[in-house]
Amino acid sequence: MSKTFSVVSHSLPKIDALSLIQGKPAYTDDLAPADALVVKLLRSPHAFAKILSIDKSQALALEGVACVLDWRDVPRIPYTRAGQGHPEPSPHDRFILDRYVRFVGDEVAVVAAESEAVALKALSLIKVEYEILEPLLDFEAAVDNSLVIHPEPEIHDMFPIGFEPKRNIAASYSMELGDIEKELASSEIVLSRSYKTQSQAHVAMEPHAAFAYLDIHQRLVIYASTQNPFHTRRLLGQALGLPLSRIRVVKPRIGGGFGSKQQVHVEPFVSLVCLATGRAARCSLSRREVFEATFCRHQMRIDMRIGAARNGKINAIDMQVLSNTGAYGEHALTVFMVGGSKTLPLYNKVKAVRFGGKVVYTNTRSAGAFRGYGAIQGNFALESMIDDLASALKMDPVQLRILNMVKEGESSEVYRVMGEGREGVDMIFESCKLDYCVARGCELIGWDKEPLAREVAPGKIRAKGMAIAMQGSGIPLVDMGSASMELQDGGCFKLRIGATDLGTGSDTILAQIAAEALGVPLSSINVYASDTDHTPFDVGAYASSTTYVSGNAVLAAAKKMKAVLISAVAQRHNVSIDDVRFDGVNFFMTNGRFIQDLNSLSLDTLYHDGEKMATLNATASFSGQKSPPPYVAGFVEIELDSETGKIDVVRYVAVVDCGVAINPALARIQVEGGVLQGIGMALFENVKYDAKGRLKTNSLRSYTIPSRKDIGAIVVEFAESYEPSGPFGAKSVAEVSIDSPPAAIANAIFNAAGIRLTETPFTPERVLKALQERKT
Amino acid sequence: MTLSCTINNKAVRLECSPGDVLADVLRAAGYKEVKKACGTGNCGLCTILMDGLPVASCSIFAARAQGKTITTIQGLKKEATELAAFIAAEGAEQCGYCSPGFALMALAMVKEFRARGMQNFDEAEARHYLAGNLCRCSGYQGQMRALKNYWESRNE
Amino acid sequence: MEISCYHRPRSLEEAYDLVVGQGAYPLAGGAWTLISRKNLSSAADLSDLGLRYIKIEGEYIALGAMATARDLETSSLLAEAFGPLFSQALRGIAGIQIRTIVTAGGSVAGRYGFSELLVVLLALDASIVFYKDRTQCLASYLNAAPGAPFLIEKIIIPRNAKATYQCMRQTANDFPILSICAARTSAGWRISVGARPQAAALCPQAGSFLNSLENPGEDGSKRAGLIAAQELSFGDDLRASAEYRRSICPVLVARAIRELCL
Repeated sequence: MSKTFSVVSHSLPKIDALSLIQGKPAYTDDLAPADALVVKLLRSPHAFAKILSIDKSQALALEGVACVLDWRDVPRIPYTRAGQGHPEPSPHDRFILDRYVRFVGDEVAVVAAESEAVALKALSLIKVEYEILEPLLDFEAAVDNSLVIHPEPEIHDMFPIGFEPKRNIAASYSMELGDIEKELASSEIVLSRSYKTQSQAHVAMEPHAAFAYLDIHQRLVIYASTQNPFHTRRLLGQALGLPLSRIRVVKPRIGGGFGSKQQVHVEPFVSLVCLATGRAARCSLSRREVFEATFCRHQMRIDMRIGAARNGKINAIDMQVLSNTGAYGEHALTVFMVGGSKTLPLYNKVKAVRFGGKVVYTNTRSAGAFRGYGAIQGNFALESMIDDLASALKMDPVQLRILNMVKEGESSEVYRVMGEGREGVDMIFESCKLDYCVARGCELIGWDKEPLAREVAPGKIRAKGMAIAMQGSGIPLVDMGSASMELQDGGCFKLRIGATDLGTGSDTILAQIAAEALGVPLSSINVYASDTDHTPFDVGAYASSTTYVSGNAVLAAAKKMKAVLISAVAQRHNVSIDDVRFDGVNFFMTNGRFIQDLNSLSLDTLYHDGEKMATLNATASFSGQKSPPPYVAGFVEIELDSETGKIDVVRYVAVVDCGVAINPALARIQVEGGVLQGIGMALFENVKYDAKGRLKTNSLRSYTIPSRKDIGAIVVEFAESYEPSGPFGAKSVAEVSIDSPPAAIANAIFNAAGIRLTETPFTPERVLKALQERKT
Repeated sequence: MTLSCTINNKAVRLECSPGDVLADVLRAAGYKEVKKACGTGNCGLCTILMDGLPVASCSIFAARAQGKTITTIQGLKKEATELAAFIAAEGAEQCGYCSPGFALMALAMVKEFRARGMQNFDEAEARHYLAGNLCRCSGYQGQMRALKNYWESRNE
Repeated sequence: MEISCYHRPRSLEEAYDLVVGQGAYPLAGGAWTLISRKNLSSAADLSDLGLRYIKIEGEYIALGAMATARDLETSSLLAEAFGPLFSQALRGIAGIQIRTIVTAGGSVAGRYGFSELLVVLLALDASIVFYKDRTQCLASYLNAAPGAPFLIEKIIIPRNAKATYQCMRQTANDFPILSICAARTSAGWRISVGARPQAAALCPQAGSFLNSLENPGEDGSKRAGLIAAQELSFGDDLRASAEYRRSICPVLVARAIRELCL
């Protein structure tokens, strides 16, 4: 397939690469006006408290302080920070500032000053009197606790999501296909186990940043490190009570997102200050603020039951989830549902499947969107369970999967019933090379060559483990992307896209798609993206949507653009459009006669054609009817130090079916990075709070993400695959890459030592403890 | 206080207070290639060369720059451009936010390895050298491939 | 942070007067100070005192107080005397860009629990030379409560020892969960354990036990490790519990001893 492409499926460098590597100012904080007020936030030192009084007088008296705002100064409009489609599946359960603070780090007041030093000084001069309330910190004790985190009457959901704030429940859901209890009861082997995952932090390298100013028309312009400028604009309009026509949001380069920038964390505050003072205002969070006061992955407890026949045929899977959304309910329902909807279809031949559970409030930092979005948690539980089953059946874990897993041309009832916060779509999995991915992974890791575990030195055990995973490609019938193209003089094209490149290279791959469709070189496409005034609508970069959804929009726009070019040439030369061909440079008649070149066409239509002069342009939108899953088979070789419990990842093999990789180098990097982020969750990234609800792992000194010394080789290969509904055969790749490591590593540890780790991360301490317990 | 130092081969004077962090002073003076991500010396994004040695500018007092020669990635135009092409070929910059610090550290490493007489690129040693440069996007593998290719291109 | 009064003394005498005489806060590397302190009314920057050196002084190697971790890690003098010990122990400290900042004197003055350098220096029986003319062995310095202000000029290490280093970490450049140095000195075995998480401490009983053996061997190493774990106290912190530290202490001590006997 790929041999026929000339731009797509080529590993071209990102169009912004050289500038970024050499440090050209390109990110939000680099671009903020030098005279902008510096905004700092006063944050709650208490996990739960009522603000009795705030004395701002000393802070306001300080020279250089422009304003100090608290809950009394902001409109009391409940909103959500989650950048999602409209109406949002997240409850509107917060205010820009409130009289109650619900976690350590919650915003109390906003200070704006002429310099950072003055702003910090002013923070220290604000006197706040709190009534300290007893915090609810244990998410397993949240439901129907006497402590209620959200008693305020104004908050609400936008449509039924199982929102019961009086019971500390942000969302709930359940579904059952077939009769789960009957199928379990009649299964020859039934296993059950409970799993827990931690609230991993994204640690995008660029801290959240935004600046705002009033433009010449007195409109509010916000530059922000956001994954979704259009949603940001809508959320700000809601929260500030401003008509959307008064707001423009621009996304410059972003230093990584992973879901962390799919919500507004600083935008409301710079906007408030800008509106209050008329001055430009900037805010860049410290790393500590990013850890303590932006979002994290939803901590979950997942109770699994699985029933199978002796021959390995899985009859029934039951997955019950308790998810911790923290103080506010952003992405509460949807992340939790993806825990089932993007894992259970892997085993689509079961007779019964049940999924359900609750998402609860606690006085800890809020959870939100994070790459994997529930699927990594669900995958850890499900894929650990499958290996448990293999062990009980004395079957090879790979063979057990091959027997039960989803195959090309099949469908899944789960996919039809469960969407993200709503019903799903009925779809056939037209591209599914999972069988190839598993077989190739076995070859690369040497699955059958040697035993799954062997002692390589006294106490050092090398062992292998694996897991399979899936994700989606955008949210069907919800996500929408648009693109518009225009021929410019000089014979080049403007490509304007609402899509949001968060460092992944989507500006480049979308330009590749446009270039391929038009038959022009990549250098003929000039991309302008992510500006609510100047680019067409796009929901933004999340849910693994950009390549598939925005890519299809670009493909449609480029195809239209080509038709417009041919039609213009046909008209100018009085020939039939059916007789005109375009080779990317020149227009020819079907019989081979040269008509004119693209450059001359651009000059003619803009300068020479008198009353017929017109720009040649095309716009298109795309919303998916389906969400074709990408798949990965992840294989790991670990070395376990059985005396200390330390796990080293020697090798990780990921064989991926993402359809056609539009840019194989960028797809590969995505997978390598996703795998390591998944390994981080599995092994290194421990989260600790103290008894008062203060996050102790609040810096890169205490929250340890993997360095390059912590990983051996990551081997990535792609299956040859073609998704008929994708642009040039593409599906997504961003999220699926992170999903397999926790289960694969847990399974390798089981193979190494017969111990089943049920809680991430598998720190040396937890591993050693399990080893010691096994001995006794 | 006023600091006199040389930044990227230019003599400059910087205004700062004694408690200021060098990274902040550099950024305020327009050296936006010095990124700040952790503030605790753990990520390497703010790396600069001070008298030729890599230093985390978020973890050193600005006052220490007095009389020193400071180099950022912008001060190594030629080498940086060459190395950047190898990083870009792998797509290893991804979001690019850690790239200026990484590229500067990598160039310092190559210089030191050459001075030690290293012939073949020693990836294990390179991992040690660059361990203080974190990246959350790439999984590091592409960065290491880029460096190996860059090293080998310079051997030819 | 804020420093109200910043001094940059040009001589040890001047620095001594500021720090010991007037109570100015001594700034060595300053990396830890920057992230752990908010305000200093008076600070003395020790950069210009000529204390950044590593040299042989008779039977000792002297580390100037301002020698950086990177200086020690790459020092050929230290490599000749102690093999890869310093390089192995210090290359786990964050990244090179931090090791070019943090100093020997700062590490000793801070008595940091996580300090790899303290563990090594303690096993090697190093002494601190305070300006002016007072020398104290590191072991007694670490045992004593922090007292009056002082100015460290250098640290001296007897040259006739051999030692190995072992540690356990969450990630490769995180602070250690536990770090161990086993040394054979002219006075016999010295085992030190750091990141307990309290500052490094010696294991005299393990040392005596090893001294009683001709060659520790497999069993002796293990036994010494168990003795070390018994005679020390351990605590909980973010990285691990006391229990875990106590569990792996014998393992790491035994490994360090075995490596030294190779």
